[in-house]
Amino acid sequence: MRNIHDLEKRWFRYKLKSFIPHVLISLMVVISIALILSVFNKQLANKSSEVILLNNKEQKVVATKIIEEVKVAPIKPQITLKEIKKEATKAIHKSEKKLTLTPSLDFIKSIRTSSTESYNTNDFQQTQKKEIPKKKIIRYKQAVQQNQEKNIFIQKQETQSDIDHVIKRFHKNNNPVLSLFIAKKYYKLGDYKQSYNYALLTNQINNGIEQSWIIFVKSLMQLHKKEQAINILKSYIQHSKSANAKVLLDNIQSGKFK
Amino acid sequence: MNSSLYTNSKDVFLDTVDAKDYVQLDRVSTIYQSLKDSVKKPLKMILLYGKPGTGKSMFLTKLCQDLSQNQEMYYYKTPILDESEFFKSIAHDLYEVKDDKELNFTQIMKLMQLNEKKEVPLILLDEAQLYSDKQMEKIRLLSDTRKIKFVIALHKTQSEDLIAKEHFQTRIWESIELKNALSAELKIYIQKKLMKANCFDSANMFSNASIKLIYKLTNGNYRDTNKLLRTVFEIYEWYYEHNLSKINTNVMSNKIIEMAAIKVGLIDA
Repeated sequence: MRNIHDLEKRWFRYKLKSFIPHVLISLMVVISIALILSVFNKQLANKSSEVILLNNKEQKVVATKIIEEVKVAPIKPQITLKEIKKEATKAIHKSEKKLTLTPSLDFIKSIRTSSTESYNTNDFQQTQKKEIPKKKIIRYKQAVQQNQEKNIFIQKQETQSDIDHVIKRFHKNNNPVLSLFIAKKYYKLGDYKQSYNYALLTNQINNGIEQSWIIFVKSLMQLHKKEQAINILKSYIQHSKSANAKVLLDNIQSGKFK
Repeated sequence: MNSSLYTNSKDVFLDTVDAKDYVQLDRVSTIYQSLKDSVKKPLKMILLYGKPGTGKSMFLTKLCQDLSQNQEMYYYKTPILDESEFFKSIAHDLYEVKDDKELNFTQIMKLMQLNEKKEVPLILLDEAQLYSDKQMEKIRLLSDTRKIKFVIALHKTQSEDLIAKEHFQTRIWESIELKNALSAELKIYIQKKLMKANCFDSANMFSNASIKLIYKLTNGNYRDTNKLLRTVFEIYEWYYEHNLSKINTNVMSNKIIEMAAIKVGLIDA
């Protein structure tokens, strides 16, 4: 046999040829796996970016809404007593239609004298006389002023200044949330007359705030007006079916209330 | 192990049809026995068919060797395509007619009727697919006389199924198909062949893996296997003489088997 070298070469070529399909198939498999993985990763990345974009959009939408709300919300530079009085009478009208309970607004005078000089007391008193029954009017003007002065010295300056700031804001926008906050603060501070007054004011602006009525009744209780507090609470329960008010009434009647 | 062993091993796989080289395998032995039994039966024709290299010629050779002592038998290894020559050969072998004159079908029929024999003589026709249809039809008519019996070996080609041919369907009473060896049979065949020639070291070189490769290349065909292994040992012989370091004398190298396959054309490289 003379052509062994040639045969070896042919065999080498044959082996190379026979390996090519295996190499190609393995390459194809590797490439296809890599492609599948990359596509899968891209899809995942797209989904996550979409989620981020959506979140950003949602955040933007929320932010713009807030900004719009802020822009839309009217900021009145000054509130005259007339405006407050008008709004108060409107609220009273509304409350008269729904509720038989209409407490006094006489304490407003005390606020007027302490805060603004431009209050028109005559108009206010007239509306009070027309809209609110006299039986339920309680005047605490002097007591309020005395207590305020006392509390200024008793309580921390920070708390009082906070309340003053909120009172100023309330006078600006007549927001019942602020008046309720003030009522609660005064109740906590033990200034029950002021808490009574602000709770009453809150109820006049919006007679549907349960917390305001509870603070109102609690303040009356602290001012030793138990009968009046019970009557008011009963009227409110009859009107609103409030569970918290019922609990409070039970506590008052059973003597648990402190 | 020396180069002469490889030379001897190479010679074992020479593509010759010799009854001495017949290797007994279980399946092949069964088939051979059934052929022998068929010959004893009062059949007109026996068909032995299979793909090239499945051992038809070897079967006929072996049958001729085994039965010729007890039975009148004539083995035509190559087909006699000329009709007159074919009849003349039969007349010469069976009836010792030594006439150079042409002999036609009618004359041979007359001759057969005149010279009736006690025992029906057997004629083995190899490569019978080369006979024309006309000639095959005359062979059928001769067998119909029951004065002569034929064992016909032919290739089973893919293009035409010879058994389906009318003259075979109607006349043949026994047909035996020969098939390629199975992988296990191939191992036995190779090792038996080598051990017959006392090439034990060479026989031990074949592992299951190398047999598997040989089977894959030859599909169990005996002729292809012989060709391949002859070339394998030829290559071994060359390496032993020129570059001994390149071969392992204990284990059959797949590389050398593949090289041999390239050489004999079983691998297209």
